[in-house]
Amino acid sequence: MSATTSTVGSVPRAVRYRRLRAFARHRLGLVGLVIIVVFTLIAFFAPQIAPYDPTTQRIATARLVPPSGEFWFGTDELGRDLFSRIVYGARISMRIGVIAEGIALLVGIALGAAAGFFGGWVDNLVMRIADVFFAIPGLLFLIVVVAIFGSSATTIFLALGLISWPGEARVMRSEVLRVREREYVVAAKALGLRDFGIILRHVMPNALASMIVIGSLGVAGAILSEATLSFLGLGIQEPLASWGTMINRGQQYIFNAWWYSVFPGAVIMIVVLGFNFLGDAVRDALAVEEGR
Amino acid sequence: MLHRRLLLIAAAVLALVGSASAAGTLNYPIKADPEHLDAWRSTTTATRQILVNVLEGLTTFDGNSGDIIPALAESWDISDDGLTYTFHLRHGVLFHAVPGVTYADREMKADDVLWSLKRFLTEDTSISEHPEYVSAVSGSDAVLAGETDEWAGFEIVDDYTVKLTLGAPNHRFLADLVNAYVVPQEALEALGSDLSNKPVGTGAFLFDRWTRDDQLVLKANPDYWDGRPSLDGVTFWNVPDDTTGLLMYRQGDLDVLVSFPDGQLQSIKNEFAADYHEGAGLNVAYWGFKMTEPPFADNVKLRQAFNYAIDRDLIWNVLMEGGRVPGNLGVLPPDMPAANVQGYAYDLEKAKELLAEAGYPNGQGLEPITLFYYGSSSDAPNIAVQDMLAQIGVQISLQKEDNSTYWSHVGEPDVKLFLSGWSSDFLDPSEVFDFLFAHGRDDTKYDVAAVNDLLDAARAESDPVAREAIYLQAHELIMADAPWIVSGYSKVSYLVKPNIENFQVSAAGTYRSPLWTIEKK
Repeated sequence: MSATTSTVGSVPRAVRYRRLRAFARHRLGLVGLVIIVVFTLIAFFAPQIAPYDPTTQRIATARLVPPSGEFWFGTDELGRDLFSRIVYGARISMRIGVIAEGIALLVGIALGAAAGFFGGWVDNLVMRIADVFFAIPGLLFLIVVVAIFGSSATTIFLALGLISWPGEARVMRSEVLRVREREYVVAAKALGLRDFGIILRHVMPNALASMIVIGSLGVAGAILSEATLSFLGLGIQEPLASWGTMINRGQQYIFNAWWYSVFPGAVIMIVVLGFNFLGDAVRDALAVEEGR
Repeated sequence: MLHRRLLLIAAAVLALVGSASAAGTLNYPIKADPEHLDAWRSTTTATRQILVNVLEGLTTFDGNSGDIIPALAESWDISDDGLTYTFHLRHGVLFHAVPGVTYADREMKADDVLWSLKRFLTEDTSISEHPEYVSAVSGSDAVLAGETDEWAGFEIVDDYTVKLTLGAPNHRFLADLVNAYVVPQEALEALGSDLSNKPVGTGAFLFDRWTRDDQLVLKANPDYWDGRPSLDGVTFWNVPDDTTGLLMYRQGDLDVLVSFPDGQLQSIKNEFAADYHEGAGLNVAYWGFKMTEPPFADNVKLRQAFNYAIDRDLIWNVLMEGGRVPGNLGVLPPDMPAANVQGYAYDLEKAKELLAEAGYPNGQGLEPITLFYYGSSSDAPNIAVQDMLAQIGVQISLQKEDNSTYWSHVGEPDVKLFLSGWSSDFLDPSEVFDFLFAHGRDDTKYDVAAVNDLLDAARAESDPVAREAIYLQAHELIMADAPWIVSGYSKVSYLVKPNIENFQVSAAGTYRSPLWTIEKK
């Protein structure tokens, strides 16, 4: 009995295999995955990778030095090694991206699942709240939050997470609506399983794939939002190095030190592309099943 | 024939286009919008910069030399004891004709002066932030205390003559009156609190319109007593970003550029060799300590240790490419009398020693300190300071706040170390001392009885040599107390297009430039 219930709601092995193959065939998706893995490793092993301390200043000796064997990405106006700063910046940008989207997913999945599964006034309430959040301009909200609570990494990813959950909730809700009336869910209900158990064991696994898609796109969005905030001078405070801050400070020197903003800009672009590729690939892999 | 006619038309069109751009408007950059345009509450250069073109006091500064010259008062007599000032008002000065304000009598007369100056006299900072401009007049204390409405020292002799009697001789009285603007009472009655954003006065330009964070437009006052200005108007463009400003200047969207992107001074000098001008300025930039809060309160050695740890030459000559003169002297701009005192030259060993003597060897036991700085300032010097203090073991975290939040926050007790700056209007030490070191008025809350007494004595001293000696004494006391880390003294440097003539800049800086003298060719 218990053996049957545990497999009823999950994805059949054949479908899972086909999805994996579709994903592997999606070359860009693999590229995206590699990018993400590489940058995650960079973030984890920043102290080992960075050739210098990212905050060491060399104002008198190495100010705005162009890229060279000694400083691969050149130095900034305070003589700090830009390569090391970008490596350490991965910690801030990746962490903010992942945690912010994690919060959005957590809130979005919980509320979306509740709305879809229970329907009625719960659905109405959650979706109207979501509408309210949709109506708030995201950047404006962030600026206000930062102005009130100060700009620490914690404030930024909390604020980012709290503003971006409604999209996740909507997708989750529609996924739940899709599977709610399926036979195995009805069967589980008939067997007397509790709502929570049904959502967790039978509804969630089916909705998870689309959440991966929206999640990976969301991480990219969050990284960009952090960069935007930092670009406006409201993000992470010096001497910590977020990529957005570097572009912001570098643009003052764009005419005589192009490397200052170009390298962090390129890195943001690559990472965001990575997450977008991954998201696309997962979506395409899911389409295999849908197209059956 | 046809050709010739075409040529004629072309010439006429060209002439039209030519004249339209020649008469023109001056396009002038501002880094931040003024907080308001209130005649009685103007404190920042952002407000002053606009107001000096719209409003006038009895006296003003010469655009080039900074000397006191007549404005609404045509002339004045000072009694031998230095107590009585008799001002002869200019005849035929008309207040601005602006929509919404109707005048019983449009001419500026003695009663307008009385009303405007008296409005400065209140402790209510929502009305006036500058009672000190006129509080030298006898009877001011009673008005300030709210005991009476009668201002004993102010006498209207006739419509064009006012007599002001001081409680004690005060050598800076004429200079204070420069910013004591004369405003028609009718404007306040008609516009109410709107007057704070739509200034009305007697100046060469009329306030026209203001789109916040975009542009603020003044137009020529056709009835100006000194003749309509040559310019049709001035548009102040809000350009917070210096790189944008430079691009706009390069494209010809700005006629003047008064602030440059960090680290590009040298390349700008090369590119615009003919447009570039530079001179000594009257602004001092500093990092202030909160003198009333731990850890800086009652710990002069700690403050001195911070002072010795900062390499000002490295910051201003190398990092900022000569953007300022390094602050190796005292708290006064170097051109002022009494400016020549011993500063805190960079000395790492001495800094470490003093820090240990202050009770924090190698920074041990000292809580991390937040250094606050404002949005429109350059990040780099502050980041450099963070690193320099780390060299003696002091941990600094940086907090940048947007300008309007910053200036209301900086006086609070939680701000213990902060970036600030002060622009003097003219070359007198009182311009710095009376505002920043007297009776805890500044955000440092520096309030030392011995210094207060010396400053009072200097203000009453009419002999310039004796006065300088007193100021020097005060200056040395202040430096020993080290309520600041002096950062640097300004240079007035700017670009101006070759077709702009008569742009006057005094040491006070570009913000006091009289724009009505400018001609655009």
